[in-house]
Amino acid sequence: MAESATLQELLVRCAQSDEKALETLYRLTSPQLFGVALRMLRRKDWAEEVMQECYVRIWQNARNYSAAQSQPLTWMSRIVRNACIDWLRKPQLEIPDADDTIINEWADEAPGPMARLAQFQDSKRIAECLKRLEAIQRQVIAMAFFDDLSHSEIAARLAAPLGTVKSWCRRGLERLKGCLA
Amino acid sequence: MNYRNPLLQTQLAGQYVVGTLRGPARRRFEGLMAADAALRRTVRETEDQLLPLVRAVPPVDPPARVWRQIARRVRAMREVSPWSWGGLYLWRLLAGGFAVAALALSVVLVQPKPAATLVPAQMALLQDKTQHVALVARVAADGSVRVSPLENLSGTATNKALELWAIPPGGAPKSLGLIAANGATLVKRPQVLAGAEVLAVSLEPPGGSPTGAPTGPVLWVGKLVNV
Repeated sequence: MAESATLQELLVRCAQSDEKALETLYRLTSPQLFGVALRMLRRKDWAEEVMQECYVRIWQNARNYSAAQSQPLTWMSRIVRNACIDWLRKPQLEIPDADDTIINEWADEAPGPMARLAQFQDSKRIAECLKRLEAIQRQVIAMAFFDDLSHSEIAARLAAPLGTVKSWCRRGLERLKGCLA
Repeated sequence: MNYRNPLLQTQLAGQYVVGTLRGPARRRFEGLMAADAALRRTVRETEDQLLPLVRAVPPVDPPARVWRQIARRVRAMREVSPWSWGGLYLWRLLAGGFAVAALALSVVLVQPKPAATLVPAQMALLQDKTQHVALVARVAADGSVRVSPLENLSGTATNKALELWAIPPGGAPKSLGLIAANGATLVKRPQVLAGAEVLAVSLEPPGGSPTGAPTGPVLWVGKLVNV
């Protein structure tokens, strides 16, 4: 994936209604964001619909993007994640169960996710900080973040008491934020 | 709960970003964010820290149809030139009689206005923190908003004003002006509304917020949905 500076410049050009810039931005960022939407929504058709919605929103809001405030991929990830969360909160939606990918991938040392995070400039740091967490803390944070599971859903899947899950999540986040600050 | 407690704010921001803050608690938190610049900053910092996590997911190429749809929608939003076949002035001329047309032409030539950006029709149900819906906002295709209270809100707004805000994703609220506590208000500020994701109503001093940002409590919040 392209560097932040490239993505920033593309967003600036989107703000000036340059449709070519949006296309390039899409080519550079959509595989990563589609991966995230697919993971959270668990259905390809839903993920496709959310992607459409999000890139139109990115186009319309490009002029609100400020490089001083966040990295371009962070800004776009926020839009995609929030759209997925909204989608999943629609009433009467039959959401397929999460598979075991996240539980398995993030168990113990989580070599796969860590290697992917370590590859990129903007995620190297969080990979290092995640290593300082207990494995179970990493796992519950990942289950919440990627599979959009609630505390009680995580508790059910791990067969652990709800209060324990909450404190793993809270302490894990505290430690992570402490390390990243 | 005391939402002003910085430690609690940091904790809730973490839960909000990771996604474990859910249901009414999440909506309440979004309402608080809309009104509180410091809280928005805390959330943004947390997002900057945690969202790079998305890199842990293997990338997947979306099918080609996704881009085709995006490109189609972006093209449809292009500003229509006032004199093109889709443009307003031409149709106004064709629709009116010659006298009216001549008048319209002279007005148009003296005061050319930019064509309005086309906005799809949207609506929002504005709820309080107990999820009680108090107002309905309908957005017409031209970007005008009609806000209708479902009950008389004068009691809530005694000696105060109700101000309507448009909130873009990750951006600060922009004022759409004051609305009536009892009866519908039509707001025509499509440029302020463009790109907004959420509408909110805050309680402000008579005459509206003196700062350009919400100063009073945000009483009702609703997400805009396409209809």
